[in-house]
Amino acid sequence: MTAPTRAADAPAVPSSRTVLGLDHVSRVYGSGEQAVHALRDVSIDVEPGTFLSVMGPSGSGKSTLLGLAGGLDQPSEGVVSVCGQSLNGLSRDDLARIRRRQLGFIFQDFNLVSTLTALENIALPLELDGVGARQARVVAAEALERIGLPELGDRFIEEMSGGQQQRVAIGRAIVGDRRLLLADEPTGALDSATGDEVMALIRQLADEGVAVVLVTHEARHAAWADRVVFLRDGRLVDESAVVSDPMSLLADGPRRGDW
Amino acid sequence: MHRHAQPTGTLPAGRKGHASVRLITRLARRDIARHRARAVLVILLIALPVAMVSGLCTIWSSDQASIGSAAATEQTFGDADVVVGPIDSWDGKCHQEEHLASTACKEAGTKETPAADLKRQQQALASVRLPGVTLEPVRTASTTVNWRGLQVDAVIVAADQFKLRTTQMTLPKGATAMPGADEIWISAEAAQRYDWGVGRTIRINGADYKVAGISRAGSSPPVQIWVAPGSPLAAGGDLTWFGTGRVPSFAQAVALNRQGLAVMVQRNYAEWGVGGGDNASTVAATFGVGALAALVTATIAGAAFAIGARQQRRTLALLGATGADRRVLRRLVTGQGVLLGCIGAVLGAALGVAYGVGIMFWRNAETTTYPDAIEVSWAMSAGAIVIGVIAATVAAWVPARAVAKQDVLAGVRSAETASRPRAVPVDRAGPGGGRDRHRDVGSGALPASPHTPRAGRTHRSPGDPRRYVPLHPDRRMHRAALRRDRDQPALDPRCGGPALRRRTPVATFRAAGPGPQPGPGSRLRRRLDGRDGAVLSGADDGRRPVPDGSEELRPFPSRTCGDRRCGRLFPAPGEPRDGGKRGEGGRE
Repeated sequence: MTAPTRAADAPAVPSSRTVLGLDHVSRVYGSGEQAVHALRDVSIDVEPGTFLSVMGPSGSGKSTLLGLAGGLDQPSEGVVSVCGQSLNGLSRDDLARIRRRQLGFIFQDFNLVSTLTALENIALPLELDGVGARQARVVAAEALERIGLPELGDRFIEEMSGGQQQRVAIGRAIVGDRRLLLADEPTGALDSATGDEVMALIRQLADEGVAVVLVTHEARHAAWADRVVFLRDGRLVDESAVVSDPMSLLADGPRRGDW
Repeated sequence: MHRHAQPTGTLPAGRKGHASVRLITRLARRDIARHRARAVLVILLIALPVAMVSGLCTIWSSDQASIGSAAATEQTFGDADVVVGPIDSWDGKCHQEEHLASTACKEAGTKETPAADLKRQQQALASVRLPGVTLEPVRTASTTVNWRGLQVDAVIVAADQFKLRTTQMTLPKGATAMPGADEIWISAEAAQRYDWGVGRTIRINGADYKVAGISRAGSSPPVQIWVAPGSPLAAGGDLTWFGTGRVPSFAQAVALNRQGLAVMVQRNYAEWGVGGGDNASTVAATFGVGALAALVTATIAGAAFAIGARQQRRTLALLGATGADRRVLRRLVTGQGVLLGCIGAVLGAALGVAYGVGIMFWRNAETTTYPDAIEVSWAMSAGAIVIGVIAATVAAWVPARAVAKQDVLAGVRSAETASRPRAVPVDRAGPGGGRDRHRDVGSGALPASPHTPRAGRTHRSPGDPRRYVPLHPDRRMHRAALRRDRDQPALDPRCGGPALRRRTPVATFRAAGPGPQPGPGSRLRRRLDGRDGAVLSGADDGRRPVPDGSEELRPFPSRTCGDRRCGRLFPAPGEPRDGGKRGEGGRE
């Protein structure tokens, strides 16, 4: 697997403001002796157009980080902000509003609503936000075209391949001018070729300005990112730009910045 | 680095900030279509008590119509507008009330009319004339019939029922005129009780009379005998006039009252003459029973909705992750309750009305008395529908509340662990074969594994029983998928058939993983291994590239098939399932 190439001559866009900010964030489950520190003092900033990959072994806190970033969980300490808006202390309904307007999730198992067509799945966040069905479908059709499935809008999810489903999930995550894409092992249920196609699409979206946070086990997928952070036992133990040999990130032994 | 800070889509205007009823209805409708068995159960749970209440209300309404004011008026007046008869408890001075709906005096006495006054009343009746009113005489007498040693009390009515029906009764079948001088009509109840069929001769007052017809009368006495006017059987009986035409004035009535006669007006009788039944308490009791039934229904249907909401946890968690707030999640489940409640309640009301009407028809066919009126109380049925819808809504609301509070993150995680591979038709998976773990890779050359039928909601392919096609929420699309599937050639699992394509052979056998696999010594394993005998290995795994970039599954050489193309599903015992390539492209 070769590392993906990017347009080297593309102009760099100056970072405007942070799309996702984690400021000394910790997450503890339970209390006392039973306390489990899922995340410890993690600080990450993700700017528009940045593709950040989060790697780490199982139980290192990757999914917890993603849940916190997406407002699905609340930090025990620290501040999580999306597009400058702190998520701390917001009600569940306010968090839901941020999720449907500012960010989108994609999951390993696609997690699309099986009773809806591809187009309806993509239009879902808009319709949940009160956009009329017809208008939402027009916007969803644009998103469907962007993800390369313009002709499959009327298909139900179960009639699509895994790669197509994940593309639809990506379409749902970005529709309606959302700036943050949170991906939890999006290629985990795909074969390598389809996974690469999905990664290429995510890369393309990042190049178009979407901030992407990708949680993955696989170094070759992390290699698509601009930055890679490594979590171990809830701590951010390494952060680097993409390395030439991404497999080295998964190697045993002390890491730079480990404490 | 190539980056554009461009918007990632057109931001539509007109966001209301909350989901539309249309979206919620669509999701609820699709989920109902997906879980038809549960939907039918809930519909039945709602429909049954509504049907019970609606049916009882129909029967009760019909009974009320049969014993109520309309029936009582018909019983008293028949087809007459006016009845002139003696005043009850007449003291020689009193007069009727202005509404002319009763034969009693205004200041009703308790003493019976003296015999002398009774005689005077009858004499006055004989010469009654009312301008504008056509009067028909009716004589009523009581007698006793000796029948096989029994003394049977009977009431004899002498009137021309063909000119004017004087009470609630049916005319005998085939009768065109009143019975002759030695003939009688009898009530159906008497005919049944004493076996007096048509043609039988009965001895009354020392003379023999032949039963010429049987009539169904509205009420007691059970033994009624109708004869023609002037029959000796009614001689000496009490005279009453039944008339049609102009209604007498109160002044005319007072003039008659002075002679001990009363005038009853049919149109006033329903309002003034019939004591009102305790309708309010009956209605309250019916709706009390209905509410109780609805409560029971809500409890039982609540369990069904709770199961449904539990099944929907995944979808609801996904919607929550997508941005649905708790109100939307709640409304999704309650929306199903309202939809199913409406369907169940309307269905139940229709069934109940049909049941009630059917019961009334059956009762009328069985009874010997005047047939009851069949009256459907639409208002009460509407009330039962409302109760049913409320019950369904409440039943759905309780689990909706609980499920809307669920932790979205936990719901999504459980959704991920709970998700299973699903089968898709080969032709819908697109070039390259789609998801490797789908059973489509087994089309033809690869027999489906034993656990295939459990993978998702699938339907056995009509073209190839070893293949499965997903159940589609839309029936038409599902049929289309089946048709497409049928058009594909069914392949011999051992030999022949077109080549199969798949993207990555590595993931193929891993993806076949969840679920039982044939063990080393199992029958299926022996059958498969004995069939082709070749060992799947990384060096020769039977696949070769095809021009479109995917790979072609090349059948293995076989001892049994010779040069023919054969396929196999599982690697030999001890051999890695993924042909030694695991980990190359798949995840750990």
